[in-house]
Amino acid sequence: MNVHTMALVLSDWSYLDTWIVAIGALCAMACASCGCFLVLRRMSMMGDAISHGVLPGIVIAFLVSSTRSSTIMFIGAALAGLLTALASQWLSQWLRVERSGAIGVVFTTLFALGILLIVVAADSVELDPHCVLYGEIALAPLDVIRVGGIDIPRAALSLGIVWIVNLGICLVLLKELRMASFDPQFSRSIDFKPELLNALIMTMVAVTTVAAFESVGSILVLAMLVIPPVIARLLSDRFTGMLWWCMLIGVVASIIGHVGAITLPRIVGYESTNTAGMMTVSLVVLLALVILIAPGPGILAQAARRRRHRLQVAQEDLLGLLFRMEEANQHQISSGTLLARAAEAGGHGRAMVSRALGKLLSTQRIQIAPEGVQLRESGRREASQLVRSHRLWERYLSDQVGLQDDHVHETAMMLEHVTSPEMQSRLAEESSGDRTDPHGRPIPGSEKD
Amino acid sequence: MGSPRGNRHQPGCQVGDLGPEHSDKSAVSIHDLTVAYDRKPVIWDIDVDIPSGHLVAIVGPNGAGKSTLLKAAVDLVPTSSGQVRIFGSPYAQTRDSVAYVPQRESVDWDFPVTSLDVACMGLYRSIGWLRPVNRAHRKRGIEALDRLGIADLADRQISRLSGGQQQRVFLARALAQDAQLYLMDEPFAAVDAATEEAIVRLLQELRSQGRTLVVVHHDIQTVRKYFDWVLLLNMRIVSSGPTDEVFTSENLSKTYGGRLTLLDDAAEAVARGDR
Repeated sequence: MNVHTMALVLSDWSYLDTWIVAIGALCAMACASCGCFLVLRRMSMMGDAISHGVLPGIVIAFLVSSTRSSTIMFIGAALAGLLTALASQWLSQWLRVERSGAIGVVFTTLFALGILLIVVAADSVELDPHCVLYGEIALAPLDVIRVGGIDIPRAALSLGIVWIVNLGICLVLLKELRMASFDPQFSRSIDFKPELLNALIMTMVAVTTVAAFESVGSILVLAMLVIPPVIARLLSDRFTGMLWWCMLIGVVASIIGHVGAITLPRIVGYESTNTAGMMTVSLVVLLALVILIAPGPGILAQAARRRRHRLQVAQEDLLGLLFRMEEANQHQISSGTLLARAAEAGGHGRAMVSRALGKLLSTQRIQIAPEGVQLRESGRREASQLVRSHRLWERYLSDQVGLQDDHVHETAMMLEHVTSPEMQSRLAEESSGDRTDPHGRPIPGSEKD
Repeated sequence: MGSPRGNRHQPGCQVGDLGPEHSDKSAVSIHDLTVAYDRKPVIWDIDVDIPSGHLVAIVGPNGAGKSTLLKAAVDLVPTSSGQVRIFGSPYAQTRDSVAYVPQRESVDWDFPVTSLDVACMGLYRSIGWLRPVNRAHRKRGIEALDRLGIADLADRQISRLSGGQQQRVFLARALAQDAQLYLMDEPFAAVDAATEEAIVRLLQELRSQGRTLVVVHHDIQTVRKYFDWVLLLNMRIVSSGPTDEVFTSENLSKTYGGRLTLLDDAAEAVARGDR
């Protein structure tokens, strides 16, 4: 039923819808390179500041030129945007205040100045900054210019140009911009002009923000500047990887956003909703999705890692238990008793120790003989190294850290599972040839012996 | 690697008679240098010559201006008066023979670059603007990482390195610069024993090639063991010279114990602008 409604709505898809998606995608791609730098330099709210700081630039451009020519407005806005960015950086250095504090001072001041100037200008003509500056993506395809016999929306053209220029700068100056953002002091020491590169980035941000505001409205631009880089950082450890992910995410969000905006409301019985809002919501949904499924830091991946680790610990606990029983010449233990004791000693669930036992059997590290569960050779080797780590740790905790002998077992129990061979040999050096743990039990030899 | 440049000296060469009049043999010569933040002087009237071919420690309490002295040498902070000459020339002309290693905490280690990316930054001056880092450069970057024993971490993003490994990456970058003078800001801060050992070995190897290393150092215990020249600093130079002569308990208590309170108070007054 709902799918049917959706298909029906989508059958009305026109070239205007295509242009809306294209403009959204171009906006996202234009914002990608600037956004990556802003987020990595921890100045994500610069876009927000520029969106307000441009106001006096527009008003002054209007007062000086007395036209509402969009080119002149654009230049005025871009200059004021650049002023916002540079003034707030300068102010934060001069006053030694945190950067976002300085941003807050500068953009509110400029915005207020703009409002005062509008009142002055309003005596002669009406000037509504919302009409001049803050666009609406749904209307953007209607404002077209003819290029080579084809009607192209002005917004698509300007954002396309900004995208190409930004991407070009970013790729040509990749190593320089990256270094200036990562280590400005070093950049300066080798004369790679971080101040100049910083000004270049801020110019890109100002021009991009102004161009995008004019076409698609403010909320969407702010979202496109910040959310895709945040998502992309979760997906990539490389700057260029981040950049490509950023663009892809922006394009996907534009498509989902517009399709969602025209179909979802119909399904629940309304007309279509605001496309810019829906594109922003799509970005947030993508962010949530990535937080859930991202390979490294994602919630699911972390849960899987923790589960694998717990299974590993349970296996090692079983091996350790069997090794200690062999030491005590107890060779008969049923799998049921073994599981119960391992679960209790290591604080594992019953299901977890059963899985661990299955894993040990299938990898041939233990076997079940008529008398009971027994270590096989590879299992015994592994177990002796675990017990060695455990007892070395007990020795260390008792001798070097000064813990009471009856307190060292629990800590050593945790540490034995994370002890690498290097750590083990360093522990052995620290224990200076002592062959027993604090309880007098022998420390098994190392793998090399 | 290692193209021979001027000013190389054999280790152990006689340098005791070097003074300002022999500044052509000095790696760094500083005259009347004063640096102030917000009008408050941080280092005051510094006059010192550091002869080339030595492994030099800059030692002094917190706030003594150790980092500032290095930064002033590489034009990272504006100076109020005085001048710094490196191998007899202003820094702007000798950049290619100087490698500066900032404090590890001065950068954001979450930045999405790899160890190799950072090491290759040491080659940027020889690569030049706008040209990409190519395979040959990456090979040299890996060689630099290898000399610090972390070639296997070349492709690792830098936040996934330990503190000691991060410091080694910084030194690999400096090594890639193939400089005659190394200025290092606390390379031993918060590193593990193995890293400290690796760094010391590297520094001594570089000195034996005739290079000069000036290192801001915090651990008084190891000064005698690692360094052959010491510069004791507390807003002004307390003493400077061969470790055996200069690193005495008397000089140390002058540097640390008897804070130069009068000078300190005067600095506050200058900052406030009163008399």
